[in-house]
Amino acid sequence: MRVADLGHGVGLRRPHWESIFGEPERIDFIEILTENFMGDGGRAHRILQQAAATWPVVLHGTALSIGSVSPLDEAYLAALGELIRTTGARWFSDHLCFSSAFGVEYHDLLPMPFTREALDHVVGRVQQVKRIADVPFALENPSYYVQFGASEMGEAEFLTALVERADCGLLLDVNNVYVNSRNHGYDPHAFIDALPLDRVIQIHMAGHHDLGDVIIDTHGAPCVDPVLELYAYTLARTGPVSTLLEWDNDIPGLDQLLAEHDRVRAVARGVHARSGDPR
Amino acid sequence: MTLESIQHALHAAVKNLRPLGEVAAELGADAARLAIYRRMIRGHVHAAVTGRLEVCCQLLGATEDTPGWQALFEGYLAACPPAHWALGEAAAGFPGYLAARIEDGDPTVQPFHVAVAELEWSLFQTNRDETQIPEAYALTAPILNPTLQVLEWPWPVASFMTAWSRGARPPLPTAEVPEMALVFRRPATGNPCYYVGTPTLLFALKVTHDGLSVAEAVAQSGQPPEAVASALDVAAEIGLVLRPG
Repeated sequence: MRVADLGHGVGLRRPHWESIFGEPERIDFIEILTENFMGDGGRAHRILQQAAATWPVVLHGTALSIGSVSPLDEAYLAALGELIRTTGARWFSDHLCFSSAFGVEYHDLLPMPFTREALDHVVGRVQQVKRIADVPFALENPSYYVQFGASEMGEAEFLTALVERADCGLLLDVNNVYVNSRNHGYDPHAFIDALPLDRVIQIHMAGHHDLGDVIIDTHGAPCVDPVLELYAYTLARTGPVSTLLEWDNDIPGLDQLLAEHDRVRAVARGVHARSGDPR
Repeated sequence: MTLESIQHALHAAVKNLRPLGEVAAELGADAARLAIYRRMIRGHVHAAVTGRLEVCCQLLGATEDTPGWQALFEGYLAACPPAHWALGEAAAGFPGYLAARIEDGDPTVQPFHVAVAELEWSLFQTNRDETQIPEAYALTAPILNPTLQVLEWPWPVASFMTAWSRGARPPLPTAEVPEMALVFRRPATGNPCYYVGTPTLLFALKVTHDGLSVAEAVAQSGQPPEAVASALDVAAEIGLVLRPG
């Protein structure tokens, strides 16, 4: 699966609504957190229009609940399709998880068991989601804190089968790979090697909070060096891929955000320079 | 286990319907790790309620996380589980929940708390309202801001909130003093706002609603032309009334 490399982007977050439009050259693309702008009137609507007129836009959601045994929310899908059209989004994505079930919204990403039944279930629902728009759809590897005794395969095997069978993209969250590798004790490089890297249409980078016995994926801190190293390892194998810095909690001022954004970009430039890519 | 049985078990764990240890054993999962999800999911709703209904929650002890607040919030989680994908909507049921607590005889909740919650919720709704405010050039006559909501309580809720926003911490009103609140989105910024329904603003609202000219308003109200013009100017300045331009 091939899509354009949009370069390096950041999320459009409320604390930066005033300032971000003063930095159009330092940002290559913008990621819209879908649920923050679906159905919103008022100022959010204006900011969204301005962002879409300034940068290429991609959409990223948390409430699709692709893995839930409850039916997909048709009203949500309709609103998502409308947002894709109004923003001219290049692609849209959500997480491999379930975020609602049995009539309740969790507003969090609950983990999936890596079973054949779950795989069949999600593949079918991806087909349904893909029908709402003519742009690519990607699923992200989420961070997860529990594993299930019922799982029949590893995460990498599950992800590979999923994106191949569903014919969708993979949004590879490098920080999540690191967080999961620490929380569940596996080699993150081997995990990257086991993924279908030709399916990666976007990469997420973020910070986390290390509690010692467990790492929480907070998106509330700078990227740690091992995550930057894993990013370089990944890029050396994928080639250039659109990369997005996520920062959703304890959101810093725009200067600090863009300094971190530049740090991630510098890692990519180093990889591409070594590979002979002049960008 | 089937996918559905796993999700049922996780649902019960995070919604505090079954002991974590029991669910963890059933799932072959770590109970301490399951607790992370329970805490995070509770935290999301807590943040939504205390963020959208900030003053009301502070009045009820949320800032100090008092035992009374904790009990109140746990009751809300059980009574009104979030049913909408938008996190902000997780606060939608809180005013009604507070009203139900009063009916059930909870002495920690007062009708004024409900009124404050209703005003704060109306601000959130006004912000999300998809109604578009027309540009001045598209108008041929003054109109009321199309996002306007007129609310009324037997207490001075908007006055209380205005004082609170300026740093004062007034006591809760003990006597009924009816007051109207005007809630709308500012045309210039798109941000929601509220004003006390003063005689001046309510007069400007009626003149504009009825489509009266200044001369007609003077004739009908008996007020001097300068007073009528001033009322309309104030209403236009704050965005309650939109004028052609």
